[in-house]
Amino acid sequence: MSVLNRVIPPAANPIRDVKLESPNKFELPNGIDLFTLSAGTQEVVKIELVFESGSISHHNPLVPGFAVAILREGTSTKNAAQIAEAIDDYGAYLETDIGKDYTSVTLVTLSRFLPQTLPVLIEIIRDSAFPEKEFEIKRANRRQKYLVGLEKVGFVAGKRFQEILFQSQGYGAAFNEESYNRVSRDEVLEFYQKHIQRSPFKIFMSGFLTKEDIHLVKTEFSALTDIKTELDSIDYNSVDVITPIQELIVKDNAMQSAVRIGRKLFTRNHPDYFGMKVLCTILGGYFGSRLMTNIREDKGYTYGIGAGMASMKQDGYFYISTEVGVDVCANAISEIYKEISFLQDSAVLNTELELVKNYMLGSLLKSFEGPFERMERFKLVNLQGFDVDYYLNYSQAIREITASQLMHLANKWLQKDDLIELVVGKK
Amino acid sequence: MISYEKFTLANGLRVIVHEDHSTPMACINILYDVGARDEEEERTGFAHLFEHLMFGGSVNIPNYDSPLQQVGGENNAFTNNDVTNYYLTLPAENLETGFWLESDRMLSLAFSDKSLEVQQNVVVEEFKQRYLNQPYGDEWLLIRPLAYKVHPYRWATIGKEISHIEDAVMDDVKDFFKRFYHPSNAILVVAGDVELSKVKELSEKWFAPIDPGQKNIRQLPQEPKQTEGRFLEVFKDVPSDSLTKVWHMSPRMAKEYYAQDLLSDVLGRGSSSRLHTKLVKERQLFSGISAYVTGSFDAGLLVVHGRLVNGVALEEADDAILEVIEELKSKPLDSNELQKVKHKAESTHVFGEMSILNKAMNLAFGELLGDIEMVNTEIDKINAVTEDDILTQAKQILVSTNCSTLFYRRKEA
Repeated sequence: MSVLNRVIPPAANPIRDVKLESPNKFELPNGIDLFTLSAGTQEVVKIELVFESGSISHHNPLVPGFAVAILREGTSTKNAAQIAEAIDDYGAYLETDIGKDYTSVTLVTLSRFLPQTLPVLIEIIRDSAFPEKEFEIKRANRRQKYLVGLEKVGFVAGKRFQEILFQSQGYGAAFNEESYNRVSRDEVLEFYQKHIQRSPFKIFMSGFLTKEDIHLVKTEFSALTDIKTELDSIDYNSVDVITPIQELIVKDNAMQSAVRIGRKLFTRNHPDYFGMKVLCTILGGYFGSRLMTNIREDKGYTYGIGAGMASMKQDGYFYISTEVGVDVCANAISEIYKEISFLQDSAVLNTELELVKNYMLGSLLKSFEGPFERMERFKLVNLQGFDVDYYLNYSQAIREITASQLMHLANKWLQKDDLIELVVGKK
Repeated sequence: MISYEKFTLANGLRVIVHEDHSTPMACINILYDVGARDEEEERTGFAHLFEHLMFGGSVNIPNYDSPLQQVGGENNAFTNNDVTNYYLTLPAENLETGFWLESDRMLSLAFSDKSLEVQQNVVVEEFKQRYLNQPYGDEWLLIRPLAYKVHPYRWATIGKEISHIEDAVMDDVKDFFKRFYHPSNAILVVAGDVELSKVKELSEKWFAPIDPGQKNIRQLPQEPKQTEGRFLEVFKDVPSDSLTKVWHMSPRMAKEYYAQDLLSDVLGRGSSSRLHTKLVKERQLFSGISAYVTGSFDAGLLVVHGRLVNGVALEEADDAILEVIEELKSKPLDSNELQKVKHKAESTHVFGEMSILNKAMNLAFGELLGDIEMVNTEIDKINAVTEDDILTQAKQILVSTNCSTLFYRRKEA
């Protein structure tokens, strides 16, 4: 018997491309698009309704969030407790979510209870009553949550960073405790009426789907005959000029400082988008990234550090994010800039580049496990105007990018003079 | 239904295989039968610190992460009071790389001084980030020693204090490895796009040569019955008061466990639960409140935790919780209440089986708890719970002498 060699790794196989299937698309008579994706073995159904308005769709960025959160707190025939029961009785989940660009309402249920729970989903988007009392409870509780958030350096930094990036407008609209006091029920109701109640939406349905499940969803949603055909346009003013600044928000009792470094970038349409994804991964996008290796695994300054890109519909940004001991904060920041300089001054070695490419391809493959995740991937790009080919292009771009292209991108987009630096805590 | 095959290597390593060919991925989950409850009182937080060191290189492989990332994989681990669990996922065609990596660190670590020093710093930062530099972050650090006086559940996984982590030395690390990290103290689960025969072959090749080690015999002092109510009050720099109440309950495998679990659901799971309906909505005493069980292997806790609306007195809020509990004990459940919490438990279970990694973890935990088939029988056990069972448990455990209460008060500026 040969002695086992534990030093040499087993032979590695190249990573397959993701097998992409487009969800089926049905155009309902009222103009609503229904996408369905059936896979897996568990008899469950997820139905997500996505409306194309989010927190940037109102001058008080809190109003849309209130509107969607109160949807489930009362309709003309059910109070909040009855709605909760109508869902909980069947072990289902009803979630609402507000993003910068989108609002979504999601039902997840065991397939056998779809007929009982689907009407509740429809009822809350069509017939929400916004009871005054529920509104006040929500206001008090959300304001309190916000005040708790203000005690966390990470929360304060995340919020302030976006304000700096977008000059307190649009995607970085500023809000404070007073904004919670100012929200009125009438404003919230008006937002609901204008952007949700009869507004068009997309339906993303996934799980282990039967013909009957799909038929039921088609029938119930086709019955909504008064859906508006025109979307209310959203005014979005992109902030073109950014002034890179350094800002320190002092928190005297902080044991750790939250650090955010970054800049405004671009949307998924930009020709440098995929390349920057690879660059960000090398810098701080996985456990073996340069920032993690240096600042956590070599210096022990932090529990975690990451870099990434946020991609909204009409804008995007690059960020580095960490929380570090206050005593090592200045060192950590200088190491961050050092790592950026390395990317600008010397080409990534082939071994590292291959590793990152494989890691990204494997990670992409994994993100398609199961029907919910696959639909999530599709939804993400569909809402920004792409189809599933996006992921083929993405993996193609990962496979093709070269070290010199990455160095070029680092010089083009990560100049220190263009970066915002924010510290919350002590420096 | 999760199908699985199980075999045991000559060195005692238990191997479980779950084939799921609907995914191109595979995962390897290794559960080590060691948690914070196995630590000494003066060296708490060690099981978790050790978990970090498992990524600091093994005897033949200087870096754990890179070779895995190189073949498209990723990994993580967690430690709790009962166990330490390591898992990786990767494209199935590169499964052997996972076997190579996991078997080498079960064989032996590199025991690098640098790694120990750095990970001590990292864990201290984790301690700060998650427990000290967060409003309410230390609630569980306070509740555990209030509720447990004898059992090692009295300290949290992160440890009692930062100095325990700073004081760890390499000899501790080596002793810990020898005692807990060997085939007879571990369970290996391989799931996803894999074949049983291949897993058998790879297990023999990579794990069978490892020395079995001495099975650790756990002898933990069990918590004596609590005989009077306990109370702790702290003043902290937080925006609003917070209230936690805990009652001792049964171990994970006790037959009354499911009735106790459902009892906590009736009380405080979700927005149609009793506590939420009455105290958040009707009386507006709390901005949020919930109930749950810790689900620990040894006797655990049923927990009620709520954050108060500013201006409400903690005493009033506490009384209000007790009223809800007394009402529950004195009257039959509402007609659909039991069915409701059973449906929720079932859906949680079904949703928990949607990824190979979750299935692998469930299998590993079931096997360690002594009944792997529980992954498939749990729903039936939950459905067998009667209304009487729940009321019996409520009367038995939700009593003042079995309760510990923490008032976490906002310090006036």
